[in-house]
Amino acid sequence: MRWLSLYLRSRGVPPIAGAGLGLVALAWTPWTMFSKTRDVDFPYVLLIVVLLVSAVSVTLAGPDDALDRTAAKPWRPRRLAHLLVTYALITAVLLATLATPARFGPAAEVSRDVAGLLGLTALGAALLGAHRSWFLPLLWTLPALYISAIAGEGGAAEGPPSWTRQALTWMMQPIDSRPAAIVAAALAIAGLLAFSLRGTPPRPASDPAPA
Amino acid sequence: MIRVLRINARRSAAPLTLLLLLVAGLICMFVSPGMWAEGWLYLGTAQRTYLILLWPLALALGAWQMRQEHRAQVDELLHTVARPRWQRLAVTAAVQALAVTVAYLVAFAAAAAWIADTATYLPGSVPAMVANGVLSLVAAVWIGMGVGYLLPFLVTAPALAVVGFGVQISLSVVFRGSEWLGNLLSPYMSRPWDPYYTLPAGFNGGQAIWLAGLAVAGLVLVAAATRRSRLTAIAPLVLGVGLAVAIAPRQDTDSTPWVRDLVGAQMVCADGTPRVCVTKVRTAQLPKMTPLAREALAKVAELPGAPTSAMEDWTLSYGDGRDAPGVSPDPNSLEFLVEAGGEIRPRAGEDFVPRTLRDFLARSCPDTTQKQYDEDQAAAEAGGYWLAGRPTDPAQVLSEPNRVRQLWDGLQALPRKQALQRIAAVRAAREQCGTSLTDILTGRSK
Repeated sequence: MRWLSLYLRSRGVPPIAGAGLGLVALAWTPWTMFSKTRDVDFPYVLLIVVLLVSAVSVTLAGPDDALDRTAAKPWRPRRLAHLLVTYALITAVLLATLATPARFGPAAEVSRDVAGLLGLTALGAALLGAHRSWFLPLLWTLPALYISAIAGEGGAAEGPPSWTRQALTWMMQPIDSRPAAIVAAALAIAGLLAFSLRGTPPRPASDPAPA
Repeated sequence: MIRVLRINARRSAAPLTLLLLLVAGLICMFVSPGMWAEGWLYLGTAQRTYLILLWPLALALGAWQMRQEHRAQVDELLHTVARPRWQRLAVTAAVQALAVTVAYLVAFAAAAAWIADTATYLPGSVPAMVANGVLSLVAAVWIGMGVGYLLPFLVTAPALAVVGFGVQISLSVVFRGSEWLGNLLSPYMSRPWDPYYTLPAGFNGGQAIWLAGLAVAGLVLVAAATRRSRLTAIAPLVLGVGLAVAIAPRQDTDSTPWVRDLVGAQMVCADGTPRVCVTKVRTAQLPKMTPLAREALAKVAELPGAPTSAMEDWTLSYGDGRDAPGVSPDPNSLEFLVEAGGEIRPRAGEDFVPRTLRDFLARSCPDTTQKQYDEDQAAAEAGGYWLAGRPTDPAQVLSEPNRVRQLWDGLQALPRKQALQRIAAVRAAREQCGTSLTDILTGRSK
């Protein structure tokens, strides 16, 4: 128990968890007050998910990697558990809103997108470092949102979008889209494996190097 | 000074800013070259459209820079130096501004190199659009630095990006009724409907003032040491919005910022006779259009009162305030449309001649039933294809293909002279909206 609380503190989990909950509450409140519909617009939900996984990226590495490594602890299962618990918490919070006047849904799409984006963040953490791991989910989601918005204006009568397009804008697709499901699953698994097996690249406690 | 800049460029996040913005900008540009391939005006606006993604990114990178400063404890380290803090940060801010400027201009230049030889007409508003695009990125990176200094957390950067994206999206929704204001305040810009539009200098000027105000506010946030001095950042913001709204001219119709570009719509004519002219915007297409337009002129030469010259019709009709100021068409000239379809070198229109001749016969009656309109269109299309000496092409015909074919067959069965008479009668009936063009074409009424 003592180890767990020390671990959570070293990863900055309590403030980040508070910020995440605060963010959802902040997004939830105006919707319950001003919107006429119960279901929150999906792009809005997606932006919240991106913010949540960006916040999670902070907790993927401690302040001093070299010090962490001196500890004779089996880190791999711990990192795996870190990601899985995070996934469970984020989806739990978002899906809990389904019982309230502002619903961050639909449940299936939200579960898929959280899995894919969290995987992407973890993959970024393993490849680029935790402090840069928010790049990938953000740089993928914003263009996808924009492209979907433009395509929506053009009229939806053109039939289902192409395979590539569904794969590239996977987070915006309905749950029955197979390319989107494949991309999300691939990202989730790749992120989970890369991060739990490899961890983040070591970074000095006061890294003066930019970025 | 150069040495200080160089050291800062190496130790700051500026190279990353440059790299990310440049790569993102180039990807945006070359994912769909059709957005800008037609000319300078489209290139200027397309790049501004992509600011919807690049602008939030610049905000995030500014915040990211200050997060690095915070983590490396540079502030504390250099506190001992006997120089004011703002002097050091001004250099960092300048390097960041340089990075975003280079990223934006290189992306512009890369696309410009593609169209430089075909895009002949450069409206004065395009350099201003590019300048405002650069200014908006500078403002973004400085505001990002300001916020990043006040909230030196890792989450600040992605959060700012999401907020910046959301603000731009919602500006166009909030000011739905006033596209003018949304376009003025947002770096993102909506596109003109056709290439004969431009932005008035006052609009670009007003926007530049607002963006400069935003940039100054960012700098104040970065440099200010006390809470009170930070509050002064509100002044340039308020001043910027106020001046911008006061200066930018307001178009009453549709509340759009775009105005007709009458310079770009001036006619440029080809050598030789008969005379063929296109607008300045389409100069590059003139050599290709000239033989086609002359072919169309030759096809109608047998009609009484046939046009003797051909002019591009740029007064595209939207049926509302966006229409070009009434330029009465010259009765002695054949009007044709130039469509580039987003291509750098548009293909010569396979069906250009029948389409132009269709428009030559078609009429626009304001109070007509849909059925009557369809019939008139079919008559004009059948006549157009017959004049062009071609069978109707079901893939290209806009009206009901069978009906057009039926009318075309009717013309084909007649002696040539009589068919020409009927077509001349259809042309003459353009001004009388009560009549039916199909009846005239089939000989049921005169």
